[in-house]
Amino acid sequence: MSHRKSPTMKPQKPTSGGLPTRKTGRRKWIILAMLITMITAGWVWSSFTSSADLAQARQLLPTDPAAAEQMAERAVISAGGNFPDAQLVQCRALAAMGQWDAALGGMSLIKKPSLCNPDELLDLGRQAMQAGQWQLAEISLQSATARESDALSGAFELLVQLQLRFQRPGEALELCREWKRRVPDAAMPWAITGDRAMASVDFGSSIADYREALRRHPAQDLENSVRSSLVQVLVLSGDVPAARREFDLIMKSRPLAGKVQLAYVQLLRLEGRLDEGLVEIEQYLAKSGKNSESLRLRGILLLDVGKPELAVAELKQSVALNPYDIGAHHKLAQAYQQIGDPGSAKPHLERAQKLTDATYRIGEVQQRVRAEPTNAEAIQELKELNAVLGR
Amino acid sequence: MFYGELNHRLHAPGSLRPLFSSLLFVLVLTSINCTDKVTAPPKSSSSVPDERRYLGDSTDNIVAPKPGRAWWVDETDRSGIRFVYQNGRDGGHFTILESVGGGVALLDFDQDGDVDVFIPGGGSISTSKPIEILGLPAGLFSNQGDGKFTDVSNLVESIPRPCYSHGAFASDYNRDGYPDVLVTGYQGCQLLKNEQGKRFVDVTTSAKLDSPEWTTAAAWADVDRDGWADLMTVGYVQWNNEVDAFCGDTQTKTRDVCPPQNYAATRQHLFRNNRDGTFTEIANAFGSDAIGKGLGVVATDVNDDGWVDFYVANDQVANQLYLGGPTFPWHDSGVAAGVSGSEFGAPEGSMGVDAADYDGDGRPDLWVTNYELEDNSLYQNRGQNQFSHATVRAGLGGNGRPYVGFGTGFADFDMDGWLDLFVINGHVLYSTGRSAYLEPPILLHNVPAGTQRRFKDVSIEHGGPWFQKRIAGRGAAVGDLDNDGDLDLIVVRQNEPVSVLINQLQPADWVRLDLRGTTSDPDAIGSVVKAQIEGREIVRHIRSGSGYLSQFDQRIHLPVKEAVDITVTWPTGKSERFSRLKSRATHRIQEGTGESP
Repeated sequence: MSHRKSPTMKPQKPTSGGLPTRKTGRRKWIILAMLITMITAGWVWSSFTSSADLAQARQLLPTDPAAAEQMAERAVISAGGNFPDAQLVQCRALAAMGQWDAALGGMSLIKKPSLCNPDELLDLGRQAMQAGQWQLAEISLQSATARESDALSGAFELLVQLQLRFQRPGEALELCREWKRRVPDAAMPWAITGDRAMASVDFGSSIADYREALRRHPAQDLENSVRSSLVQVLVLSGDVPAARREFDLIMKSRPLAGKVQLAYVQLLRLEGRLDEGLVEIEQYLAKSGKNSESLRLRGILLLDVGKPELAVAELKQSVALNPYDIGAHHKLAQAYQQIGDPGSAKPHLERAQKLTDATYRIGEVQQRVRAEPTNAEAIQELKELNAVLGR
Repeated sequence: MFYGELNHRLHAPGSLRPLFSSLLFVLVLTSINCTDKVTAPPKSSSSVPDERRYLGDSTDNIVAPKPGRAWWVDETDRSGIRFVYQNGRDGGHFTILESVGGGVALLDFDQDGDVDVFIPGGGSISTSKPIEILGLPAGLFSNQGDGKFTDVSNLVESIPRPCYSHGAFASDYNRDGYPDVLVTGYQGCQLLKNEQGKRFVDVTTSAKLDSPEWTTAAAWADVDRDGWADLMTVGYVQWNNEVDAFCGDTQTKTRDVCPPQNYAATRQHLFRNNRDGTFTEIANAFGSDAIGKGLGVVATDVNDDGWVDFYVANDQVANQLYLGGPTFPWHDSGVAAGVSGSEFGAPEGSMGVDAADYDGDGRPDLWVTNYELEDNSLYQNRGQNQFSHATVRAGLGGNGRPYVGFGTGFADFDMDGWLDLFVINGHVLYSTGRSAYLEPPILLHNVPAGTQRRFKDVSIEHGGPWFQKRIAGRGAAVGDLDNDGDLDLIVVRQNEPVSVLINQLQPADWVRLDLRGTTSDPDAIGSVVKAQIEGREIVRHIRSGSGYLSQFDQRIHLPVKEAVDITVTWPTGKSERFSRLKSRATHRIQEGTGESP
């Protein structure tokens, strides 16, 4: 990465010389008036030119970032070295050219980045996120959230994403709280906290937050996504009647997306509508192709309806695709036992048991390794457990 | 800890939306107990509305009671049973001890033909440190024959320092014709010998059952077929009266009870009845398998081989099935038999337990109630020591997930010849659980589904007002308290009065069978009764340990219009036929007095 000088590090030309010293009062006043006029005109001119340069820099940015950077620099110089919007455009241009260090340097020299155009701050933050320039992203996005604007939600969303990337769920949730407070109509923060709650297996909070998100009439994509998550968490939490109502709502408007269709199969199973579940999973397989999860689900349904021979075939395929799937091994063992083949069941039962044990154990060992990072024994055990679990 | 893994998977870097790469995998994961996650808002107040709500669903699932005949009416006041099980919560230490709660035993202690009630008292936990734990006296209530009871607690010998008690399990261990009671609890069990129905005296020491161990559940059964009831006991965890580290919601600094993961498992014991009033532990009865975090154990002959078996419900670790036989050790066959955990084999937080033939195939199926976000597990007995997880197939999928299930059992409440189920729920966490501390019970009606059987949730339809309540339920027992031929319920709650629910269906046709072993143990645990009723063979298994820390009325109720012929297979393996047993009567079925089948 090149180390280009930041814009304000360039030498600046002197802007004025010495004043005349004639003692005649009238003449003095005339000169003073002329001087003021000249300075004002110069200021107006420089403002005009720097604004024009900035406009031109913005125009050039998408197609010619190098030229945009020069133009923005000129604007900054014209403005006397402190022109936040132009400095930001210069940073964006530098970013567009991949000169991230210079962009970061430039950003840090903007005296009040919060005065910059929020949309442009958001844009720079997004660019930086995409390029993995986390520090620049954070500065830009935090600046974008400093004042009310249309960019607020976008900036919060990316900031939350950034916190989650760095495993800072507490900070992410704090940002969501602020986001909810400042943009009460925003659905996304509720969707995010719903997701977080679901990941923490706090299904009650998750359902409540998803419902809050839906009440805020989100855009169609987000609505679909939230409703899909909601039905999944309703199925997981065993609230069959509510899950049914949500699915009915979804299915009125559109066909089910892949993952949601699998959740729907689960719901049909909970409702005891096993044959319908089988039809639905067939449709899913025809549409989405075979994967271990759907094959396992079909195997389970076949076992449910008393067709263990067919279940064996499905579950064998599932296990072949994902040999670390506890449930598939366990169900395959059951299916073998039901067709009177305990010999074939045994290895799968043992495998399921081993995976279950490792799944439980690994949490403890991870905690131990975190507490004692140099504990060779724990590190070795963790390595072995990861191997057992295929991680 | 385990959920940390789940979090990691679901929220991989860069993801704002959960990555449901495998919904079913999440199901597998969520079927595992998780008391270390405590994030739901507190809802522990008794002011929680009576409406039945699902987890987190604040508006959509309020279900108004539907018209339908309520099976029970709350007759607590009329019954004369006024008793509160105390768990010591007011000590403020949030000990795991207080989460266990208590049960209730139904037994005819005075042998007057009706069931009496024995309720352990629980205990108190001091506010001071170090913690001082004291037991509270038990309640004994004598049935006047019509469901009204007289408090005869004074007949239970007062003990200077009774143990902090949990469960009560009856058996005529000394074959004197009167049922005795084992009370389980912290710092040891108590064996109360019934002296001819006059009083209960503590014979723990003389019976050689003295032990400082924390015992929760127990089951009486004749394991060596010598005609004397032996005893299996299980313990919960190794907790020794210490003040625990902080458990609860770290964000809000709300303290709560610590989960069982924080403690080591305990040993299980099998005591042989020496036929002289004493017991000796059978060394190596279960080999190295004999550890667990047990809260329930039911004994009956699940594989029809003539030997009593034990099924143990463990919290957080795999449930165990000990298949009986002539030689020890008996090894755990839970995993191999498919009864160790969830439908995907994961261990669950199991509490209540029962065994009975719900599907009419003659084999006893197994049932356990579990922690929240786990289905209660129904294991359909397929014969040859194989079970299949039938929860979803039997319509019970999702049903128990919002709640923490404790008291439970199979019973034919509507006397249609098919065994129904009930589940008494109540959280263990006071204020930091995912769902509220107070939870509604569930009533499940056994209904036909093609050629199979399913359970339909009729809590709203037939549960009556009591089943719409939210309670901190624990043990419960089923029996005919008012002697009218149908099955009533008695429910123990944490720090709230015991509830007496009287069945008001009052069937016109019934037969009550009171089995008495002579060569077999007097309670005939492991016996099988077969009756041909309206073209169908009804099979009932005599078991002990049903429910949660409780003792059901052991008598069998069958829907019989005029008379019925039954066949009893005793634990000795011998079968006898008893003919023309008339309707609307109790029949004492004594071993050795029947005809050859």
